Amino acid sequence: MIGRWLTAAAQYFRRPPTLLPHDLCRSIAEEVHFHMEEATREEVAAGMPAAAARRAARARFGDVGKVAADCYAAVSFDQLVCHRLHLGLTALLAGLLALFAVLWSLSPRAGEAPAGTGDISGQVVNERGDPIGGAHVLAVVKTWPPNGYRQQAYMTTSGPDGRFTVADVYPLGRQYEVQIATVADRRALESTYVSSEGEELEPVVFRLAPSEPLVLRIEGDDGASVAGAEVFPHRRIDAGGHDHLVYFQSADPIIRRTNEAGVVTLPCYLPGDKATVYVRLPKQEWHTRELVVPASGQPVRLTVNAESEGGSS
Amino acid sequence: MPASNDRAELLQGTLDMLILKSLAGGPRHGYGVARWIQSTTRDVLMVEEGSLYPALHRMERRGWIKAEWGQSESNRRAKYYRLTRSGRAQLRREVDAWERLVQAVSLVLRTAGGEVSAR
Repeated sequence: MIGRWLTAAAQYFRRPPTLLPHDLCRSIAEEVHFHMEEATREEVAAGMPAAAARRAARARFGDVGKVAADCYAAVSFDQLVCHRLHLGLTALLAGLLALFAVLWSLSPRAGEAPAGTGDISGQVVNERGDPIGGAHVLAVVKTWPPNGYRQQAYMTTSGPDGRFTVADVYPLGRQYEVQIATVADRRALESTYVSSEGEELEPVVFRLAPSEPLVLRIEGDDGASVAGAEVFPHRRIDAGGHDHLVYFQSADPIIRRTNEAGVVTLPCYLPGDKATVYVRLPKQEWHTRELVVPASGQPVRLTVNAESEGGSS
Repeated sequence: MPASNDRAELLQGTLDMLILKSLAGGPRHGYGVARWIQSTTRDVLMVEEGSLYPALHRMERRGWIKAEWGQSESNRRAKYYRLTRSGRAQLRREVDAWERLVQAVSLVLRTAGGEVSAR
């Protein structure tokens, strides 16, 4: 049985059905014609006139067209099955490809806005619980859409009541992670990190302690102070060892520039904090510098040699 | 030739067996198969020629018989069919099944007490 179908499939691919009818029909016609001639010859031999013998042979044989069609159907059955199977599989494959294309076109990809419905919300308050308005809220949302990983930054500021909301930024029901940092004037940098399997994020409350200004003097490798250098706080490890981060891609709103004397003040650290800051000389790449925040007001000199150092991390 | 009343209808499913049997003695063309069945059964069975050729092609497709063109007794080109090994095995199976059927029907017919009496 299996052998028969393998043979039929081989014949099908060797000789497509469109080439079959002509040869086959000629063969069947010749076979039927031979039958008629023999039957006629036998009747003539028995004494019947030739014309009557032919009519008798034809009448005995029946509908020649139907017999030929039945023969054709009998012979080409396997090939027709193979042909229909071929068409069916081709249609199935085309359907699957079309379905895949539709699903692929509908699925979110890295770089596109997420189809999120989850909000980030919360409040920024001082150590007494009073609201802090105008605080920068810097959020980075990490999601894993079907075709990869994406990371998107969102920035906002708290209102007069200290509250903030960033709407529709993560997908409910799917894994996401959120990094939120808050930077307010003369308040210590705070951040939090949340991993979720898709639950709605609870409102986040940032209680910001008063800070001491961190004064930085940015110098080039020749010792000259650099005006117009850009600086932003990247990391703060407080006395308790807690790590607070501002992601690079969300830092735009808190970048400050050095003045004519090459000095800039970052009002978001406390004395004793371990700080990491990003520094970029005009028309140069970003560099990081680590330091321990000194007692209040003491300027810290940071030397940046733009030509010999790598870019931002 | 006997009168048409003396002829018997071919039982469904027996045509293949008769064709296979007709070829057991050697290759024949379709017309020869029909005539062999007719003469062997003394004109009792007459194969419908319209059924013969589709059956031959179907059996060829199944691999029971193989066809090739040759010269007939009247020196004409004719398509000859011969039995394959698979066809011989099929013939044995069909003959066995037929003999079982005949025995079973005979048993029924020979059983006493089953006669239908006229009122």
